[in-house]
Amino acid sequence: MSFREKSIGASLLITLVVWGFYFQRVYQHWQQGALDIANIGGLLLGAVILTIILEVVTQSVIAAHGAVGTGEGTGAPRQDERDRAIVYRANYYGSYVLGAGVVMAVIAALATQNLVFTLNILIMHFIASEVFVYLLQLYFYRRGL
Amino acid sequence: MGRLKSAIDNRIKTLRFEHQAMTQQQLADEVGVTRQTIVAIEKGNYSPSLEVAFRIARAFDRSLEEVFQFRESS
Repeated sequence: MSFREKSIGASLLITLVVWGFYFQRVYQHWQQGALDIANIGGLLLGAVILTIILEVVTQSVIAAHGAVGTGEGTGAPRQDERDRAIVYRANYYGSYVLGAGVVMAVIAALATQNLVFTLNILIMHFIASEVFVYLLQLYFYRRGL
Repeated sequence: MGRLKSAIDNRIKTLRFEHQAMTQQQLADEVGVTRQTIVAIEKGNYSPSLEVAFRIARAFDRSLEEVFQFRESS
């Protein structure tokens, strides 16, 4: 598995775990009828900060490990035209998920008039888009572009 | 979605062995791409840009057509 695949795999795992936990808590608040900014604000901030910390730590470990054992990072670039093409194509398809999220958020805003609910619909599609992009990138690395 | 096999065949693996068993990493360093990209090109999982294709051909002192062949039937 290449450095890029490990990096994407780690990001995918972090996103699923942190934001899975976030949406589980949001769902609990929603069921209790307590979906307001006071409950969600701290949770959202915590999820963002935790994601950043975990990303920095895991990407640093992967980069350090990759530089030692695999021969990568010893002269050849870490990213080249194929990596950029994969990112570009995955983001292209991912943008459809994000676009669908914007439409859903508009519908949610009009239907519920609930800012926090609408915000979470938008965040959910943003995270779904990220997960989709990571999965597509892994697919393109494995099966070809 | 993305095609699985490129319409371009190549002789990179053969040419590497004809050039003192050049490793994929050595070729990657000479061309300026990652080893994984050389692997993908060799397997036909990725069609390189014209610039990279020329760089690969130059690494073997061959013309582009001697390294890459377009498969008409695909």
